[in-house]
Amino acid sequence: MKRIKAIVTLFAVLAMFLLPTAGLTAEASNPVTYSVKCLGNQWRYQANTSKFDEGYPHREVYYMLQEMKDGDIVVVYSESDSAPDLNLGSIKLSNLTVVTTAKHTIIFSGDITDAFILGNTSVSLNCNVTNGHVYDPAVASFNGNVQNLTLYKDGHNANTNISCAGVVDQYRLASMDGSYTYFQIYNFHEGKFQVMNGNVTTPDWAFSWNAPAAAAPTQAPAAAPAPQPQQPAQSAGQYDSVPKTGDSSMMIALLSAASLCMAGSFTLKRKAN
Amino acid sequence: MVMNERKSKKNFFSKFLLIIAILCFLAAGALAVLYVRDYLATNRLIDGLKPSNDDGYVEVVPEVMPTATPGPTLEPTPEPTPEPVEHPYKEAFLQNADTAAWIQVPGTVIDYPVMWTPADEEYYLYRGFDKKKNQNGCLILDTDSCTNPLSTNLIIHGHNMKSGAMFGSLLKYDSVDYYNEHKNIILYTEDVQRNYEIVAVFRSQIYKTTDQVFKFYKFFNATTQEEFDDFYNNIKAMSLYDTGVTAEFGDNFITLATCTYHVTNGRFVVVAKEVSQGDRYLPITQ
Repeated sequence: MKRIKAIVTLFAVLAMFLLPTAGLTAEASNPVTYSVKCLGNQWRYQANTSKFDEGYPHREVYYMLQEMKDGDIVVVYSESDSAPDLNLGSIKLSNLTVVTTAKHTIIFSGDITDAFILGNTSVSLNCNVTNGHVYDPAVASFNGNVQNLTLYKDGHNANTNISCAGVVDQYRLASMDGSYTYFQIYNFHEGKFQVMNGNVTTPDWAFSWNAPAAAAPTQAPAAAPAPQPQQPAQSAGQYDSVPKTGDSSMMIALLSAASLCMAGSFTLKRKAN
Repeated sequence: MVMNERKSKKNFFSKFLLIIAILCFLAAGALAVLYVRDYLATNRLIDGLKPSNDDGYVEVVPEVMPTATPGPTLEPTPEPTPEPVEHPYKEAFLQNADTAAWIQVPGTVIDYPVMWTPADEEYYLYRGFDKKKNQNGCLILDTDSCTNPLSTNLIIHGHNMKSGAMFGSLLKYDSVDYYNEHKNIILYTEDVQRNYEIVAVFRSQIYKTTDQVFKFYKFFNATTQEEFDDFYNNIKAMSLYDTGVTAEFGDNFITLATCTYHVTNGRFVVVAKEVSQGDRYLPITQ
């Protein structure tokens, strides 16, 4: 009996230790947002907030690196002229947003899924980026590869400079709200991507206007095919969509009709008399 | 009695037709007023944007038919300055962010801004430069064309106005004599002046989506020699006369297209190739 009690107690103790740990593990899988700011010449951070508030306690970035895990989010603020490089180690970030920079800021990190470089910032990212979003006016230097890069601008006064030391698979110029795309170009050769004052200055031979062909079936994942967006059935009688640039002939038609009616009216009147 | 009845019926129909005729005349008159109003509005707006009018808005004396603008000639081509200069059509770019370029065919009325609206290709089809309703519309750069980075072919659509405005005078290229006097096209893009020489002039049409034929309006970029050959051989074959101008893979083109009525959805097309560049321009800022 004593032995059974001891075993039950042991299981109970084990359960007490294991249950909170399981709870913590589930919590830890959610991405945590860190806001990072350079104060003086030191990077400080606050967790679980995207806005850095100097009125609240903050700590050295060293401790953040101890806590961080893949998928976390980092928001960067720098209003200091003496900001050193920001080293975020090799952790893969789901989102890195650069909100303010007083001078050109160099950031090291693991791969980033979405990098947002907001207007009036100047930054170098030393990592690979899946989706790069640059908002005019900004200076962005990507020192790894970028899969999809978008520059958002309004009007003709774009003043953004972007370069990439790696390859850029797709570059898109879009309106500031992203609602429409001016153009899309593809397959920039390694180290050749360059945008100066919002204009692509890469030589013609170093990129392509055509989207690359879809990956070969053997390379495709074995998952079920994704549902295709419904295309309107192409009718054999439908013309290509090109602006119709003819002038209206309504005035001539009306004048012709008026002349005919007038002639008819006079003829009838003459016959009646 | 019967005669009187017939007479009164004829009188009734005579009056009825007269009323319809008057209504038709009135409607045609109203349309004519709108037509002239739009024409004058376009002229006023465009003239205010041209570089000769440094003081801005210029009142234009109304004319029934447009007269040829004494545009600059390409011969001899002025030497481009080595340093970027201020854009001569800066005002147009600043006033409307949809401005993609300014096109000029020296010696003709074609001297207009070219608008580019990727979200809605036909936005300026019946709107003026000021975005107000206007039958003349604006010249439209096809949404699949792009000035920066430059696509191989820039297709510009414009109305074939009876007044001669927009691309109303383009059909004069039917005549080889007219071509000989107006061989050149200048396109002032945001960053540089591009000078073109006409390669081919032809009539074509908009085809059905399923038609397997050469469609001039589908050529925007030549990434291979084959793509270029397909376009070039077809436009040369269709050209109404031999211009003597040749092109090769790597050349850039401009295509001006307007409606004609030789067939359903007919188009009159002028294709030119870039032969040189003029001044480079400073970034357009306030």
